[in-house]
Amino acid sequence: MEQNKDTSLTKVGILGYGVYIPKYRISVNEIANTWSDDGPLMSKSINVTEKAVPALDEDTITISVMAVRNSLLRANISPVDIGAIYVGSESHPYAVKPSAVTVAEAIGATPVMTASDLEFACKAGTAGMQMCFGLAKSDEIKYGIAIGTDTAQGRPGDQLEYTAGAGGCAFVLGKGKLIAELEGMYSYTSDTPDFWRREGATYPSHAGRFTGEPSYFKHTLSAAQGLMQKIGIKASDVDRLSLHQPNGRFPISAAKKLGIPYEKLEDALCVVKVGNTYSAASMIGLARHLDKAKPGERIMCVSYGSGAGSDAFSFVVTDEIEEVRNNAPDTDYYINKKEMLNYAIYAKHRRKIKMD
Amino acid sequence: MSRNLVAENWRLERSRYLLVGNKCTECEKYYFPNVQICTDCNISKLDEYVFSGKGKLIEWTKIYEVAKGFELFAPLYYGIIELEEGVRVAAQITEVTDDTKLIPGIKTQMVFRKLFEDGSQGVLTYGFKAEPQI
Ligand SMILES: [Zn+2]
Repeated sequence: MEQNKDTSLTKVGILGYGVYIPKYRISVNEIANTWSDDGPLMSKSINVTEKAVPALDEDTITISVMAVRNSLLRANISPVDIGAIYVGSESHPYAVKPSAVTVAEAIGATPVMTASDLEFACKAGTAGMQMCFGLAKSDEIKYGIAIGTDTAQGRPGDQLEYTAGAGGCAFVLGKGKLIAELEGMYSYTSDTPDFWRREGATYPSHAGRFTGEPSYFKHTLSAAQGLMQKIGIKASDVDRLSLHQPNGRFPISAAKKLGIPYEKLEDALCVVKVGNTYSAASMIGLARHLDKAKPGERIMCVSYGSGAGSDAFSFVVTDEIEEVRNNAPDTDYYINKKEMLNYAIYAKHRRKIKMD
Repeated sequence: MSRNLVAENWRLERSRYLLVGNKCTECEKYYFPNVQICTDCNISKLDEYVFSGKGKLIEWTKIYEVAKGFELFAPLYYGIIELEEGVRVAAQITEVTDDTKLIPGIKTQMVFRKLFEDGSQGVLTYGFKAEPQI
């Protein structure tokens, strides 16, 4: 690798990862029945069968804390050595007051550290990863934690309601005992108004079919191809791929366009069972690859955030993975731990019922 | 807003977020919430201690007529949890979908949850709740 000409002192990567997905689910069928839609057809067209719904006492802050605690079980570092915490989300509980400070306090990382909430639709979590890598590589911090969490809302009856899920993923990043080494990163960004939510609005708006070709595909593919060119690899050199997954169809088409077979994407496709976890989606896909990857395998992860941009990363899994993998619950533990809700209880969970 | 949640939250956040108590340096007795003086040895030399959050259910109760602000959460389950360090803590029990499974003695794990929302404008209160491991 041309990037690894330097000594191991300059290597940065992932030291630990943690996932958390709330246990409640609603099926696409149940939502479709409520709005007199064709459930099986809808489910097939978006390749999603059910989506995760947060408990009434869960939000982006609590989900982030649970994911970070899992990441620390794997990273085995002292919380006081954490120099930066970034929470990427479009569902921060406060409009003004950072989620990141509560997360930092809840793991005992305060006060000598920096923290911030990031927002870039579904790619704010990976933006945090880039910031941590930059700070760690320049030795400004020892370790940084990047979190992607969302408890996404879709307008009742809207297409988005079928996919808007909930979940979080955290990565401990820096130098040291790496479980996956960063080979390189690359981003692709433009002003593309495919999806937005104005200040104070409860639900987002989207530009329908405009969310496909000029937005998701253009940015995802450009970032992935740009990264491969930058670090000098071909599509066939990628062993595992995680992409942003707004539904179960887009990432499959994107992988095909990249010339990467479905089998290399499959382990990352959590959207089918938990819905679109927004900022967490491509990160949970990366985490599930780490649950299963063998040392030496190359994982490419590409996020996508509406508005629009993509961040691409390439990692090579190290021998350390075997040591830490089982120190925290894996992604499948959370995918399989579930309780189905009907639409009425779901509406209560998502505060669609006004109490005052 | 009936009480000053801002001050109370700020004062208690460390113990609520991290489950921090203390441990007597002499007799090794654990305390939660933390104390200034060990009631057994009468000494004030205690070390801060972060509890693991693992424990077991001792007893529980179910509250149908909940206080203002908790209407969405009704019924509420409260329990006495004995942490593995031997300390007993009162905590809300979360994720109860079938209370016939709440049998005293079952294992519990403290998880991080939202404890209270002060209307639509006030602060949010976070802390630990017990999740039954069933
Ligand atoms: Zn004592």
